[in-house]
Amino acid sequence: MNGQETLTILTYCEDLKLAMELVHVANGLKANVVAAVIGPEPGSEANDLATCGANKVLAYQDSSMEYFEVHQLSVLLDAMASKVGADAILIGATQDGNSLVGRLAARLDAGAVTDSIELSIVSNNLHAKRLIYGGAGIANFIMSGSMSVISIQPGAKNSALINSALVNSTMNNSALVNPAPVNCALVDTKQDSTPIIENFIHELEPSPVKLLELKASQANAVSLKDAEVVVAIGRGLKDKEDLKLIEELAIALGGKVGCSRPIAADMEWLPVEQWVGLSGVKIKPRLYLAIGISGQVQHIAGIRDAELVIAINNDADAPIFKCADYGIVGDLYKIVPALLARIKEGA
Amino acid sequence: MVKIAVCLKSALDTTGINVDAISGNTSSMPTTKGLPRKISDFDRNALEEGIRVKEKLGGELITFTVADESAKEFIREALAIGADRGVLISQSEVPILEEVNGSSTDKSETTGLDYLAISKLLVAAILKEGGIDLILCGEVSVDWFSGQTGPRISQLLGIPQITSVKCLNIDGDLIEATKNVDGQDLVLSCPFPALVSVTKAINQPRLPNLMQIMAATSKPLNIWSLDDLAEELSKLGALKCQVSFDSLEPAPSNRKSQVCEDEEPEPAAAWLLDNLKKEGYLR
Ligand SMILES: Cc1cc2nc3c(=O)[nH]c(=O)nc-3n(C[C@H](O)[C@H](O)[C@H](O)COP(=O)(O)OP(=O)(O)OC[C@H]3O[C@@H](n4cnc5c(N)ncnc54)[C@H](O)[C@@H]3O)c2cc1C
Repeated sequence: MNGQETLTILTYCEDLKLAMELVHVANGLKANVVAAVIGPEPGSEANDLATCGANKVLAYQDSSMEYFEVHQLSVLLDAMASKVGADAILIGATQDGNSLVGRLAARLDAGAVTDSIELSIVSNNLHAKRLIYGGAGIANFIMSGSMSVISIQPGAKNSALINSALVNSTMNNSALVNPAPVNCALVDTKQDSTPIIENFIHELEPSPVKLLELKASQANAVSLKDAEVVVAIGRGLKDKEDLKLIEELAIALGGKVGCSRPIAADMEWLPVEQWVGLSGVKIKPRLYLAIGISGQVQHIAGIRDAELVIAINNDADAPIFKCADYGIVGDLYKIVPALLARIKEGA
Repeated sequence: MVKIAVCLKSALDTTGINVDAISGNTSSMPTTKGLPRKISDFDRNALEEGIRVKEKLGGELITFTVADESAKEFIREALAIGADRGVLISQSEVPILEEVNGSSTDKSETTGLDYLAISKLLVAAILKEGGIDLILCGEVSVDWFSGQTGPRISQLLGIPQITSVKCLNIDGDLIEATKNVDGQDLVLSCPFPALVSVTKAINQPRLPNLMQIMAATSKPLNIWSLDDLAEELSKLGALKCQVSFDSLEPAPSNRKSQVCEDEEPEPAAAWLLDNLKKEGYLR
C-alpha cells in the first residue's frame, strides 16, 4: 500500500450475511469496496451487497460449482483482484474460507492473517488483530506487502470481546468487526454515485478435485449454531449415565446440550458436533451454562460471543468463574437437581 | 508404493497459559517463556494417517519441519512412531515470527519468518526430496490455529488440496477424502500428487514402544540449511516477510463474575434463577 490513496478492497464470502459484514468492515476503513459474488444466480446477492454499501459488485455466474471449490475460487478472486487493482482481499472466516486464504495468498505471494477480529489503518498500513495462544492473547499485525489476504470472523452483537475492543481502541479509522444486520437497516451511505454491478467473465478450468457425494452427517448430532440456550457439561460429570441430568436441565431451560473437548474427544460421551471451543464449535447463545467445566482458554474461545455465561463448579478457584457472569461454587450433583426442582415449581 | 511427506510443527504447548496472569495491565502480557513445546496435536494425526497409508500400500514416509535444532527430539519421536526419515530445515539465523516477542518495543525484534516464508521453506525441501505423492499436515497448528501453511504449500506446488479431512481412503493413485462442512459430509476425490490436511477426528495417534524408540536413533535425520535449499528457493521467489508484529495484548473479558458460595444448594439455585429472571432470561 503506497502513499495516501484510498485502499481498494475486494471482499468475498459464500455466506450472504457475513459477506455484508465484510463490506461493512471495508467501509469502516474508508476503502473503495468491491464485493465479489460467485454462484449460479448472483443477481439478488449482488443487489444486496450493492445496497449494503459496496462501491462496485463483481458478479460471476457459475452453475457448475456445487460447493466451496477452493481451487476455482482462488483463480477467480486473483483475476478479480488484478482487474480492480485491489490492495487487500477480505474473506469470510468460515472453515473453508480459511483454507482459501492460504491458497489465494500463496498465489498472490501475499501476507495473510486468518480469523481477524479487527482491522485498522495506522500510518497508511493495514493492521489486523487476531486471537492467539488459544484465546489468551490478541496479536496486532502489520501487513506490509503490496497485497494482503485476511479472513474476518463473524461479529456478534454485545460480544464481550468486540465491545471492550471498542472501548480500548485508540486506533484511528478503526473498523470493528461488528455485524451489519441482514436486513441491512445499517446501510453505509456514500456520497458518491450509485454502485455499479458488473458481470465478470473468466474462463475457468475444471477443478482437479471431484465431488463424489454430499450427505448429511450423523443423524443424532445436535447443531448448537442457532441454539438460544446451551447447557454444557465437562469432566465434572462422573458417569455417562449422568448425562440424563444435564439433558433434563437443558429441556427445562429450552436449550441444547453442549460439552467440553474431553467429553466428546476422549470419553466419546457426546458427538463431536456438540463440543464447544476453539477446536470445536464457536457459538453465540443468549444463555450458556458451563457445568463441571474448568474454563481453560481453549474452551472459552468458543463462547466469547455468548450473551450471558453461568458457571457451576465445585472448585472456587476454577478459571471459569472469571469468565462467567453468574457462578455457583458447589457440587453439580446437588446444584442441578435443586435448579430443576425450582424450575418445575415454577418459581 | 507411495511416497508420503508429513509436515510436523514444533508447537508451543499453550495449555498451561493462565488467563489470570495476563489479564489487567500491560506489564502482564501473555508470556510464552518457559512453556514447553511439542509436536502439534493435529500433525500427530497427520503422521498417524500417513503411517496407515504406508502400512496398507507400502512406500516411504518422510517428515518435514522448519525449526531450530532443538526440534530434533520431536523428529526422533516421529521416527519412533513410524516415519522412515526426518528432514529438519534449520533456520537458527532467522527467527520464526510466531516466536518473536510481539510486545517488544524494539522494532527489530518484531519481524521473523511468516507463513509465506515458512511454506516456501517446506516446499523447497519437498522439491529437493522429489517424487512425493501425498503431503499430509494438520488442518491448523495447536498454538496459533492459522491454517495457512497447508493450502500455501499446495498452491506453491501447483497441486490439489483437500482440507479438514476426517476420513481418508486411497485407491490406486486416487485419493478419496471426506470432510464435514456445516453438518454435511462432502466426499471428494483427486489424483496424486495432492495435499490433505486432517482433523483430530480422523484417527487416534499411536504411541511408540520402547523398541521403536531405540530403533529410531539409527533412522536418518537430515538437517538442511537455507544454503542447501538455495536452488529450489530461487524458483519460489523472495522469502520477504509481509506480516510483522505491532503489539500483543491480553484478551479482555467483561463478564460480571458474580459468585455465590452458599453451602446449601437450594438458596444457591434460587439466587441464580432470580438473577436470570432479573436479566430477562427466564420467565
Ligand atoms: C489446542 C487446543 C485446543 C483445545 N480446544 C478445546 C475446545 O475446543 N474445547 C474445549 O472444551 N477444550 C479444548 N481444549 C482442552 C482444554 O485445554 C481443556 O483441557 C478442556 O477444556 C478441559 O475440559 P473440562 O473443563 O471438561 O475438564 P477439566 O479441566 O478436567 O475440568 C473439570 C472441572 O469440573 C469440576 N468438577 C469436578 N467435579 C465436579 C462436581 N461434582 N461438581 C461441579 N464441578 C465439578 C472441576 O473442579 C474442574 O474445574 C483444547 C486444548 C488445546 C491445547
